[in-house]
Amino acid sequence: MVQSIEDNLIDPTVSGIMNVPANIAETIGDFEAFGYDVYDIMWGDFGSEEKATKTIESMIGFDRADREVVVNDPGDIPNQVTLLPIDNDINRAIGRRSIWNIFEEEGLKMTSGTIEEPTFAWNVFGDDDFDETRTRTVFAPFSIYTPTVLWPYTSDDGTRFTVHDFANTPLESDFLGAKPIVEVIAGRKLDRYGALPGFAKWGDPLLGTGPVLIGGTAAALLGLTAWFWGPAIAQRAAATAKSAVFGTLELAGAVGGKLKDVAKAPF
Amino acid sequence: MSARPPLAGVTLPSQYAISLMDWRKERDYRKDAIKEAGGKIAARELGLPEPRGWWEYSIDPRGDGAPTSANSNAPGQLDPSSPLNTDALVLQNWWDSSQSGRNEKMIMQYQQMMRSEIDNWKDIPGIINYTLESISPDVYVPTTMADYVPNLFNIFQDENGNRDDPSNMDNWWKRTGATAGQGIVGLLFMGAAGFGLVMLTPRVVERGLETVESVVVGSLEIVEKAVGKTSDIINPFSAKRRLQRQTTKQLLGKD
Repeated sequence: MVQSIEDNLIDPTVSGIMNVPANIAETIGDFEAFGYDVYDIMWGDFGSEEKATKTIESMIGFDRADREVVVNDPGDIPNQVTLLPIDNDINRAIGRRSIWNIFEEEGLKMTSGTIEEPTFAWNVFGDDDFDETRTRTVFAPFSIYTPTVLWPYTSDDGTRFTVHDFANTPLESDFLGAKPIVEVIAGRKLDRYGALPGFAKWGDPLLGTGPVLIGGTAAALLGLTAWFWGPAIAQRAAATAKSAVFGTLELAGAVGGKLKDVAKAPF
Repeated sequence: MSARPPLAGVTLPSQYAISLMDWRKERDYRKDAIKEAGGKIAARELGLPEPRGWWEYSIDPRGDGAPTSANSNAPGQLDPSSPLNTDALVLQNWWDSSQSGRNEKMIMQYQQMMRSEIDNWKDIPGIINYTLESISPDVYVPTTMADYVPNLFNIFQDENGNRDDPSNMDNWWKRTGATAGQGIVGLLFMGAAGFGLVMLTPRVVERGLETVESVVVGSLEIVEKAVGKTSDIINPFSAKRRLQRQTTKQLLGKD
């Protein structure tokens, strides 16, 4: 049903809209002046059909879709966040941090790196900001602090998959065929997740939902079944301690008694 | 076997492992020197250098100074053009390199170097270090939950029997599914195994101590009997032999 709508309605419509500049340029080419083709006597931005297409695309704002975002990763997110109380000194260099002392060196850090995204300006209105970019600081507490034992993501080179890697992950969706139009409206190339509007704010929390769900589910399951394993573990721990203490005393007594016997043995 | 190591995470280069060993040696040497000098105050009076942290060592192994430059982008803002910084580990090409996955050969090399550092059985810190490094080697950095799961608790394998390697999967969703699957299921199995072990522990401790008692007491009984029998054979002054001699004399009417 959805595919049918895409094939029969959205695709032809989008294709029709996106081909408008080319169609106009082609129509212009059909005219003749003084016995010459129009493009033979025109110059500059309209010097050829191809140039005319580009110019018209620019005039109606289609070139907004060509602008790409830039993800700046400062590489300040540790590769591993451990629950063990390790010394940071040796682990700093290899990108390993302990959750217990991670704040000692750098304090609480909620952001990492930036995304430079094109402004919302439209070239067609002669907006001076068209070629400018706006720098968004990336909200990244989950990437920075989530313990690795709860982190289910990996990058293809084995390093920790952070919000910056997420931002650079290719966006495969074609928005039900409407991607070219959406890109023009959004004013940027939607080739990766980081190009989606507001990614700097919601990218990391979205990554964080996985570990939160895993950790939360684990905590809930452990809590709900605590009646089963809690007393059992406590009972066994007590029994182990009792066995260890009394067994050791018994062993010491038996060995001591036997040593006395050996010492008293007639020789 | 697959060409890539079977786990995600990253293994640090062997130069890194060797440098770690050199740093540990220096630290231990300096600690020993301070101890032999009679403590920190005496060592300070003698001008002995103090043990350094890994970071301090890695920016200046020779200890001849590490000039910085405000314009430098190098770690610690070290000045790469200074001759005094040619020894800085953080400026070497291999410093930021790492190999994806768990490289068992490199880890083994590092662990064997750690083992060779143990002087003798009385070197308790060395033994503890080696044991900890055997469990969690410094040169391997886990980066996902799946990296904490030993092969024993992993059920995800490919058709060749190798562990499924998420870093071989191009699709992000597949990669995440494989990592989360290995991690969640593996950690669940580890928890269940841990619970089972705790349940068995009292019995294991009790039976273990009983076994030790039987072995030690049994051995001492053997020693006791051996002593008694040997005495019977070779000691002419033993109580039993004396009694025998007295009885014989009485029978012969010689007392």
